[in-house]
Amino acid sequence: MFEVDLQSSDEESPVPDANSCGDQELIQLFQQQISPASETAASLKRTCGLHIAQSCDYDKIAVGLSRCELQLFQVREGGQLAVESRTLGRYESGIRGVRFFNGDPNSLLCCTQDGSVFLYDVRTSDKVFRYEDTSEGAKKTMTSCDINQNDRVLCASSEVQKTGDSFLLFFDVRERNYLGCYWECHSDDITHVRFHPTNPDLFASASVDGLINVFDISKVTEDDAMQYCFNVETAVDSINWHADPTGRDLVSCVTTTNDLHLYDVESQDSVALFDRAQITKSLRRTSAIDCNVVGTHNYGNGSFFVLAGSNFNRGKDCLRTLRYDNKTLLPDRSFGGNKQIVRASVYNEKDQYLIATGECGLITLWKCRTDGSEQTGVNGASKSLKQKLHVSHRAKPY
Amino acid sequence: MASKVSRDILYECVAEVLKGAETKRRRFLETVELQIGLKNYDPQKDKRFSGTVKLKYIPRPKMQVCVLGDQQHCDEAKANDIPFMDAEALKKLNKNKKLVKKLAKKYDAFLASESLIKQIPRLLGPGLNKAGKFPGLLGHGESMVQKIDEVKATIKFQMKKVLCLSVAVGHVKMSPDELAQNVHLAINFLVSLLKKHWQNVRSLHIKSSMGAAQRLY
Repeated sequence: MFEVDLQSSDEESPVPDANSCGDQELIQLFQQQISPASETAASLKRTCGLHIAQSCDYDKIAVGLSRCELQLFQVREGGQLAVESRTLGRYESGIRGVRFFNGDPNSLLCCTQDGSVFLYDVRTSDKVFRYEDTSEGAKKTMTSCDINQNDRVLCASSEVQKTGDSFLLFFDVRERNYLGCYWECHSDDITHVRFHPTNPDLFASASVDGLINVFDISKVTEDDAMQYCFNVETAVDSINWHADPTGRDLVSCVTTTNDLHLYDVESQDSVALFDRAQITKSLRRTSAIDCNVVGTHNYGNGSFFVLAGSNFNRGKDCLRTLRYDNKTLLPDRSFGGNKQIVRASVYNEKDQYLIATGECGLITLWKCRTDGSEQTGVNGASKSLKQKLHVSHRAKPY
Repeated sequence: MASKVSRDILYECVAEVLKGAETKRRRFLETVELQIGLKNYDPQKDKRFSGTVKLKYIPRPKMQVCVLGDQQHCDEAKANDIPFMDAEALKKLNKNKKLVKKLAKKYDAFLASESLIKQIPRLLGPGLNKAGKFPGLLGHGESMVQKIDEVKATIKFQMKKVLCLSVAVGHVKMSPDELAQNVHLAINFLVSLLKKHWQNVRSLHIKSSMGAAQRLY
């Protein structure tokens, strides 16, 4: 006979996602209720913003759209977004990564699914160069790209190819040639590559195979370069580097099932694990199956936060951050006026701007700095928190 | 979240699948798969649809798991008739790619003690990575047998370019109850990961390896 677990909440009528506490409590917990300072639409035609990058001087934003277009925006005084180019790049295949150089605010990289990485000079909007994958065999379909701390090495990751191999392709940025590849460290699509923010030789790769590999590219062979390997045991979507209060390297990852894992790199220990039910609870929402974890960002003062929202009501009801603090996620900021399911974001540590893009093709900028004038008052907060106040007491997220 | 597959239909289809396998017996243990067809989902735009889920009953009983253990785990493995290797045995492979590949082929999955798992890249190189068999972590607080059963009960799925995917949820020697529960669990988990949940599901079928597909939804 059916056991109890089959007679669970899924047999009953669906419950819409909602806040798990009242407005007043939300305002107390998420002490910053922020309205957008600026918003712009990428296009009048339907499109999604899937990738976003900011220049090192924080003046420019590049957005990769699902329409295979690369756009450039300026961030003006006061956080106002202004279009600089709606068609900086137009491609035959999907955009898979957008990245400004670390030391040069005018150089921008864009990689596409069909295996090309383009270099742009944003001053002239010129496509300056195209890095070609001259590795053996067919051109590898790409999934992401990143550039190392000193802007000398470019790495692009690939999907698993017909041969069963997945690749990490390296290019010399200045010499503009293909350097070589790693191809033994993953067994499925590599979803994300991320260089260390200050060490030019260190980088991490993540894959659908559930592994996060950390490499030291100063070593001669792939075998020797592979330093650490973390088995997340489920497909990984994105990774990021952080530092703990003592300066030790940490790597976080968001899985395809919206869980967040955190590892101490040197000791290879798992530091924390938050599944989507826990993240939903911390966000003060009721429905874990609607949780959308966008990613993590460093505050710039030694700690980091998680940006997450809800897919419910097309993402409009909820966009919040949770601060990581000693193995817990604490309520941080709440972003009002969000109109879409957010897919990519950048955080300007200097001015404390959060800039996000998503499934309605909008690019929105929120100013997080609390000098009093940016915060909305109680009325504003409740306005932006306006939603169907269906508070379910059946607290049983999936 | 309401399940759109009623208990009756689920049991009906499960019965049909099992009957089909019983009527025309094959020379191997047929797997039962859940096939899900998606709609309103664009692989170029939407978030990647993939993950792992632990089922209630083991769908692949023949799965072989090898323990790469410290002294304590090796003793436990020996006592429970579980294949194992210790650090010395791994060192003997000398990072030889052919031997590591052979080891990877011999077993379906690996579990490793904390102390050993941190040394895998140094001891074996990337061979297990390449084979998709990097070990999972075996802690000291849990029963080894239980952890192995967990590994055997866990299924992975990934949507590639086409809007349908197939995942093994059981086998034809399972009882109708066991199979139904596994199917139900898998469906609920998969649907919970879709942005619009049931609105993203076009169809659901179950079938045995050689049998006809039975439509659930």
